[in-house]
Amino acid sequence: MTTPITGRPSTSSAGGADANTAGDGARSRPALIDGWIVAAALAVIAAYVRIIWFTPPEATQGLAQKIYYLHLPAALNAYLAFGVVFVTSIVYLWLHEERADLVAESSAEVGLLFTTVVLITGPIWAKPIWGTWWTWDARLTLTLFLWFIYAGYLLLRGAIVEPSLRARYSAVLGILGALLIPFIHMSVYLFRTLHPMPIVLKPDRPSLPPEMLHTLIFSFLAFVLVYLALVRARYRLSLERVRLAALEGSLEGGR
Amino acid sequence: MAQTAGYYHAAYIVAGTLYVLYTLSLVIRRRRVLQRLDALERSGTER
Repeated sequence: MTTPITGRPSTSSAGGADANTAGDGARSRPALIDGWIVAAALAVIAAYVRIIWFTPPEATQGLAQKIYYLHLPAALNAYLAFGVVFVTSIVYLWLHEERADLVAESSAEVGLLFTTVVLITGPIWAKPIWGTWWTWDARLTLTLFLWFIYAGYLLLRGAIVEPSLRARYSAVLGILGALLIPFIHMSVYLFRTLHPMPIVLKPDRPSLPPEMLHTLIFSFLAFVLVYLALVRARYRLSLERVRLAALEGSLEGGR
Repeated sequence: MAQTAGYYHAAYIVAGTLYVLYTLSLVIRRRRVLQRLDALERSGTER
């Protein structure tokens, strides 16, 4: 049996300011943009400043190499987001906890955003460096496949009306989609590919000069904050949609 | 050094725009849901 979200989900339970003031029905509107979004925006601005003005360009690729500071953090955050979908989908199938399903939905949507950034910034870098926008090599093709799986995940959720059925089917797809991630990471070792080999996430030391490595870590942490802020905001939207559906149901039942 | 500044600027502008548009879409969707909730709660208390 599915554990429903009962009662009125307070926005503070999702981390925001409490939306509802006690008293004679007086009700203040919760803030649409909260502190997490503002903090994430400031972190990204700081990362942009560091990348643009305080990190040297690479000697042969020129400024296009700096696309790497956007591309790799987006890829790692997409892995993180779909990893969260994997874990919360298992939790949903095991415990039938509705909140786990809503976290999976939120994380999948934000993961799809990061994968879109990866699939756009990659070709923009590839054009001047490889001489082509796109090539059907293993890493690129599998990443595109991952994008389609999670786009399908969100379409599936939109197509099924019954909540427990929607949660169960999408949990299965969410788990299967995430199984592709280790394969994508290993694809540069398993296949002959144009995509560069890992220079940070590899068994030995990262092969980046310290100033570039520090900028990369800074940018990654800024985009982790973006991930957390967006998932949190998206989860809050899901909670309010559940509340809206419950209210609509109770009003229709009362007619 | 290769002259690739145009690609670099394009990537940063496109990525920034995507993040901002997604955040705006969250704000707009949430505002719609809250307006609908307000309307339903008002109609519920008026009965």
